[in-house]
Parts: sequence; C-alpha cells; structure tokens
Amino acid sequence: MSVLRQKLTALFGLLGKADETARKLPLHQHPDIERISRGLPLHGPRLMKRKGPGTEFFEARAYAQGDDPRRIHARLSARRDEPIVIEKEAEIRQHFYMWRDDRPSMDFKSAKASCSPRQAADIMLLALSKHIARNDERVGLLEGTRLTQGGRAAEWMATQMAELPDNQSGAPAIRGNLVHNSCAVLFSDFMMPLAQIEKTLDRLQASGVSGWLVMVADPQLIEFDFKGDTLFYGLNGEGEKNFEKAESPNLRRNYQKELKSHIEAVDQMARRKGFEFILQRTDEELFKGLRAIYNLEPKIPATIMKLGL
Amino acid sequence: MDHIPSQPPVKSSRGPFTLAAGTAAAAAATNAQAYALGPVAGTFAPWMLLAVPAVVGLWWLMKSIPLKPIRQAFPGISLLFKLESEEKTPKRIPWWQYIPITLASAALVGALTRPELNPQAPLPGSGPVMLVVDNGWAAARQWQARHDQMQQLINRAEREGRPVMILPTAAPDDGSPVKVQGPLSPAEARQIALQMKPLPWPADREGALESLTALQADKPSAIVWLSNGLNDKAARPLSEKLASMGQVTILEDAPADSARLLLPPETGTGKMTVTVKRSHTGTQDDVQIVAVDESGKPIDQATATFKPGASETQASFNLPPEISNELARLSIAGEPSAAATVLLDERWRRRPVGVIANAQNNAAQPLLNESDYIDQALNPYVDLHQGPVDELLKRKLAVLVMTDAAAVGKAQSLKIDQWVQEGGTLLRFAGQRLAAQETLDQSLLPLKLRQGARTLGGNVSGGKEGKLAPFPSTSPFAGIPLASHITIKQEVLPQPGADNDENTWARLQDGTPLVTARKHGKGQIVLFHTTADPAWSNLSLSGTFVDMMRAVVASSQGVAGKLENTDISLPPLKTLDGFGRFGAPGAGARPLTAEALAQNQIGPQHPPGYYGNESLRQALNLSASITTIQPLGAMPDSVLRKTYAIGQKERDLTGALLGGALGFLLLDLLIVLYQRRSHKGPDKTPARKAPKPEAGS
Repeated sequence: MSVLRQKLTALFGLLGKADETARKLPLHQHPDIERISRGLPLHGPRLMKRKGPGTEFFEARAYAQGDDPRRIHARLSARRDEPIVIEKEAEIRQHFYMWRDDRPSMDFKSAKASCSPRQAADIMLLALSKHIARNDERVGLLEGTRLTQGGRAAEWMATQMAELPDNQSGAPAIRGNLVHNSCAVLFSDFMMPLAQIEKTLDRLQASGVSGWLVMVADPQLIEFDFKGDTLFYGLNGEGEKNFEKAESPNLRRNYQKELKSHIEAVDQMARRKGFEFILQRTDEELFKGLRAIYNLEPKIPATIMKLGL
Repeated sequence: MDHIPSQPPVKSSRGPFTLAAGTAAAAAATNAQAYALGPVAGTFAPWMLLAVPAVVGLWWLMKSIPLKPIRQAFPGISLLFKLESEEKTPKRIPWWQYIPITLASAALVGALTRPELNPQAPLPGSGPVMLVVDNGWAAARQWQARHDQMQQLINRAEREGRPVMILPTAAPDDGSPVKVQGPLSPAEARQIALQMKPLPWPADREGALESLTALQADKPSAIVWLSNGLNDKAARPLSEKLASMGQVTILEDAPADSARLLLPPETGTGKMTVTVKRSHTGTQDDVQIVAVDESGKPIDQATATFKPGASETQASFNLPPEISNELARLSIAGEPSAAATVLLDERWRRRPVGVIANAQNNAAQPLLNESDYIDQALNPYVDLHQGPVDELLKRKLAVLVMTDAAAVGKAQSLKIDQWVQEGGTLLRFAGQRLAAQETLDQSLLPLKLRQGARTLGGNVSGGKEGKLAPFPSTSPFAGIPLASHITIKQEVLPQPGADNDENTWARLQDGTPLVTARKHGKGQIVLFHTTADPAWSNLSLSGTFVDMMRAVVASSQGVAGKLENTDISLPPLKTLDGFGRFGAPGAGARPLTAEALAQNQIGPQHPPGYYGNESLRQALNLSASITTIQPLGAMPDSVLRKTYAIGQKERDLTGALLGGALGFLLLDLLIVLYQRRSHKGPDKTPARKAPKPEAGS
C-alpha cells in the first residue's frame, strides 16, 4: 500500500474507508501511527546530573593539572582572572523498552469504543516507537533481545511483536539483559492483582529501569453501564458473578469506588518503584496518553477522581 | 333454563371443523345444561370451568421459571467479586399481569359453551328439513332477507345434523319443471342457496305441488316455506300438502316490505300515466317512479301516494313530446324487481305527423277543413304539425298527410317523393281534385286510378250504400272494430286489376278497395279512396277512423317485417332478470310470436325484455301479465306464520370467543416481550481458557 494512499486516507478523513484500509494494512502502516507520532514533542538526550560528554552546561571550575588547555573558557577566565574550565552535563541516549499485555481481556470492546484496548495499545506503542527512533534513540521490546533505531523502527517493532510467543500471563517475559537507566513503557488494562504488578515493577527496578504504566481502558470498564439480570464472566478465566439488577445505581457506585481504589493503589505503587501511571480511555484520542508521557496532558483524567462519589 | 335432551353424537358434514361436533358430543355425554343470558344462549357443563384454573395455573408455572440472565464478558470481573448484589427481588408477578391470561381462559370457557347470539328455536322433528322457496318475481324486493334466512336454516340443520331438501317454486330459466332437490348435505344445500336468484316470472305452485306428490325420498319433518306473501289458487292446496308431511312454518314479508307492481301506461294515448299496485292495503305510502332514457340517465320523476286502505294508485309524467319520446324505461325507485320495471317501445311514443296546410285553408270555418278532421282524430296520440310542405319536411316526420285540398307543386312533389323513399309514410286522401285528376301524379299514389269518382247509393250501384268489409288479417287495421253506421257514399277507384290483396288494406263489402298502400323505397304511400272530411263519407266522424289513423301512424316504421305479419317471430334481444337488470337472454328464452306478444305470455320461454332487433323492437313487460296481487290467504291451523326477521341474524359466537382468547394470549406475549426488551444480546467476546503459567519471571 503506497504512502500516498495512506496520507490521502488520513487527510480526507474517510473514517469508514480509513478503518477498512487500516485493517487491511500491516499494523505498522496504520494511518494513526504516523499522525500520533508527529503530534509528540521532540526531546533531547537525557541528562545524567553529573559531568560528562554533552551539550548542556553543568558547572564552571578552575583549571586543574591534566585538563586539556583547549577547554579553557576565555571570557570566563578573563572575568575571574584565572583559568576556568566549563564542565558539560553528561548526556546519554535513552533506551526504551515496550511491552503490551497479551491477555484475552485486552480484546474486550464495548459499543462505546471504536477499538479494543489491544488495538489501541498497539497503535500507541508503534507511534511512540517511531517517535523515539526518529529522535535517534533506541527502542525495542521488553520481551525481545535487541533494540533498534532509525526510520524503520515501527516496522521492525511490529515484526518483532508478531514473532513473539504467546504470553497470556499478564507479566512481561524478559529474556535479554536490560540496559541500565533505560525506560520502559508498559501497556495493559492492569485489571490484575496488585501483587502481580508489583512483582513486574520490582524486576524492572532491579535492572535500573524506570518508566510509565499506561492503562488502556474500555469506557465500560469505567462507566459500568449495564442493565438487567446479567451474568458477568472474566475473559481471563477469573470466574463469573450474577447481578439481577445490573442497572442498580448502588452497584455502579460501589463498583466505581472499587475501580478508583485499584487505580489509586496502582498509581502509588508505580511511583514508589520509579514509574508513572497514565490512564488512556479507548474512546478518546490515543495521542493524549502518549503526550501525558511528555507531561503535556494530565496523566489521569479528573473524572476518574470523581468516580464512586 | 331449558334442559335439552341428550342427543347422540352427531357427524358433522364439514370435515375439518370437528370442534363443534366434539364439544357437542362431550357436552351431551356429560348432561350439559342449556343457558340463556339475554340475547345469548348456549350449553354449559361444570367441567368447563376447570379450564380457567388449568390455563392460569399453567401460565403461572411457566412464568415462575426464571429467565436466563444475559451473559456479559467484563474485564473488571475481579472488582465485581468484592461486591454483593443488593436487590434480591423475589420473582413475584404483578397482579395486573394476571388479567390477560384470566380473560383468555374465560373466553376459552365461553367458546366451549358454544354460545349463539339471537338463537332461533330448534327445528321441529328429527328428519330432513325442507325449504320451500318462492323465488318468482315477488321475492326480488326482499331477496336478501330470504337469502339470509335460508343460510341460517341451513346452518341450524347442520348443527342438528339433518339433511336438507330445497324446493324452489319458480320454473328454472332453462324451462325444466319445478322439482324438489335433495336430500342434500348442508354444504351442498348452502351452495344451491347461494346460487339461487329471484326469477322474472311468477311462482309455479301447481308445479311445486306436483313435484311434492311425486316425492319418493324421506318425508321432511320440518318445513319452512319462504313465501312471497302472495296468494294464488294453488297456495292453499300446497300448504295442506306440506302440512300433511311435517310441521310447517310460513315466512312472509311485513306489509311494508311486500312486493309492488308497476303497470305499463296505456299505449298510444301520448300520456304517461302509470298505475302502481300493492298486495297489502294499510298505511299511507309514497312511491317514487323514475323515468330513464336509453342510456339510463334519469329524465323525470313522479310520486304516487297510496292512501290508507288503497291497493293501487297512479302517477303521471307531464313531459313535452320530444322528451317523452326519449323515455325507454320506468321503474319504482329503490325496488330492484322485474315487476317494478316497465320497458317502453314505439307503442308509447308520440310520433311526429305533418299535415300539409295551405293558405286556402279556411280558418273561419273549421268544419269545412279536411285537416281539422285529421287533427281531431290524431291529435291526442301524435305530435301533430301543420304547415306548408317545405316547412314540414324540415322536421323529422313519421307521416305526412296530404288531404285532397292540399295543392302541391312539381318541385314539392319531388321533395315528397324523395322523403318517402328515405322511409317516410305519405297518407293521402281522395276528393274532388284527385277524382278530376288535376293533380294526378302516379309517383305519389299507391296505384293507378281511374278518372272520376264512383258514387254509391245512387241508381248505378243498385241503391246500396258502401259498407265496410271486415279488415283482412294481413292489414294493419286487422282487429279494429268496425262501427256499423259507417257508410261510404263516394270513392275513387283504381284501374282495373291494379288492386290486389297485398296492397289493399281495407275494402268495402262489394270488394272495391277503400284504403290501398304501396311500398316506395324505404317508405310507403297510403291512399284513403275517400275524403278526410264528411263530404264523401261519415268515416271521419267515427271511432274506427281514429283507430285506422293510429294504425297508419304505427305502421310508419318503414322496416320490412311488419308486425301485422303473424308469421314473423321476434328473437329476444335483451331480457330482464328477477332484479330488473338487463342481461343476455337465458337458456330457455325463445323468439316471441305475435300471439305470445298479444297475450303477454311471460315465463322461462319468454322472459320480460326487448324482442326483435334494434330498429324494430317490442317490449314484453312482466307487470302487464299480472292482473291482481293478493296477500296470502288462510292456511291450515297447524301452520305457523311468521315474518322475515330482517337484521336479526343468529350468530355463532364460538369463533369470536376463540379469537378473543387468542388476542388476550397475544397481549400477554407482548407484555412479556416488552419486559425483556432491555436485555441486549449476549456479548460476543469469546472467553478464553485459564492463562498459561507465567513465563520468564
């Protein structure tokens, strides 16, 4: 499928056709990926808060024996009347690791959403990967063994994802060694026991990895808008439970209270382990969640905080 | 409540619908009781009540079984496990939901009792049921009531499981005799009754009596005679014969609904006065008579009023001749019957006749004018015009009268000649001028004449004055009574041998012709060999003269095959059915002879209608053949007499109640569907099996 056609489809906003075309496209050529990735801000290398090779100013100190005389800063030396050397802040090119939950619950799609959490997570993951690679940084899969950079990152990532073995455990199966001080972005609905999430985060923290937890949620997961005598069942084999009046306001309120507690608990745990928690609804624009990584959007919508009240 | 005796289970002839028979049998077997609630009656047995709790109980049982809940996949199920569903509603059915099902079972029970609205008494006896139906002309007015009554009686016979016999009393239109049909199954009887129609001739009760006498099959035990309410000499014998066979009930029309007769107006008078007759004398009643033209467009309307106690009345139409000549049909408004319809033909039309009058006519001395005698003779019957030839020929005339005094020039006589050849009738009178051959013009005479006039009563003729001989049967004057005082004193004579039987319409007793005629082209020329005034004879002072003049006018149709020729018979053109509607002639219709026409013989061979062809048609009217109509007379004591119950139909309500029960069940179903509407379909997200053990942790 030509790039021209992609652009045309995205440009004219032929939604139905776009969806259809998108579905027929290989994943990495989904029109939204390019659009979203271009909506993310450029960012520079990460500063290390110590002196080292870089471009950002770190400190100015007196010339010491052994320093390269070419590093003497003329103007500052003249001002201070002694030889001064500028130290730069050490920069490091980031390494990013991506992971997307593969459990069946990620396929749950209600009528209110236009795509399932799995599809949303895939698009966000590839858009972010494309953006990172475009910034000369390296990106790879948490469950993979290599990292890549450059223009064809999205395609490479998609291929890698397709080649991964099934993992419906809800935790990443980390194979290779992770680069110290790298970043990880984990996409999931995080509807799992806290202990399981904590285990994953501990593992990552031990490898020196920090990052973001992106909860991709279907609107019904948050709103719980059901009616009638309903037998709910879990998609991951959790079991089932019957409620005779699913529309009951009490039931909805109590459920949302539980959901809010769970989100808060995950958020606090993430912070303790060096991660940030972001909530992305599948009925909202997917770039919002990614821009939240860059602090350009709220990480958790204000409405979530009002749940259960 | 009457207790009806148990009857053996009946075999219904209507195969599929055995609920009736089955229930009747069951009801009979358990000694069901008849009940009556106002206009509704039926049979009821206590076990039927069990249907109500049975149906309601079954319904309650079905509703108590809980509905399957909707299955819904949900990723947040782990959170739901922490919650308790608070509202444990007991599955109670609200009271109002019991209403439709209770009504449905009540309707079902009602249907089991086989209720009937306006039930009629059961038919007497247990053998076949006979329906004697007067389906002659008099049944047409209230035919629907008879039809409905027949259907109800057949239905009743079916319910009682009895065969039916039908005896229509009017001869069928194919000319076969009246005959009893049956015994028939109720279904067959129903078919026959459906196809029965009133016929446009009187009922043949004698034929009915004969066919009853010849009856070999089982004698009927219940007889209903759907009569036309009219009496004839066979009515009493027929009723006695019926009464000897079984219980007889006679149904008659109410006096206000009885048949009426519209008699044709007198012919040739030019006036349209009609007589209306009715069989029952009673209250005052108004009758509208409508006159329509050939295309059916109403032209005029007249009202006839029956005074209380009167059995006949009259109404007149006062129309100018041009309009009254267009009338084709008179009928009683709102009464579809062959006896309430009169068809008109030429006999009722006033023909236009012209009399040539010159300036010489002496208006001051009317008795000297020949044309005045013509006028006197013809004027009430025809549309008479006088004037010069040119003026007259501008009109459409049937007859042109030329008296002796009329002076006609060469050009005019050529015009007259032309006119006669085109179909007109020229009527000439002799006189001095014709005798003197002043205006002798062979083309305007029927035959060659001798010069001069013959005088009768003088010495030459031996003293006898000319008396008229009776008119030959081939003459248009045939049948006209001769007044004995007519004497002819003077007449013109034809050339020897010129006269013959064919062209002579009237002769004197000595054989000399008095009136001669000849066909000329499409028309004819008629010559009276004497004067139109009393100069040569007193013919013009007599009534015979009037009739002769009218006959000449009537003969002026100008078509071959005149009616005076009795060998000619007229084929039926279009005939009326019992309802007075035109249609093609029936299977038994035969051509009309002059004798049949004169005697007005109405029957399957000669139904009322038009006979002949389009240019020469004769109307044969039913009402002209009926002299009197009398109500049905006294009957044997055992005979019951009733009137047709119009509008009060007996109706079986079983079907309606079953339909009602079904309707209530549907209502219940709709309520259930409405309650379930909020249940969307089950979620289609597939649930997968339990997760594999964690990898790589």
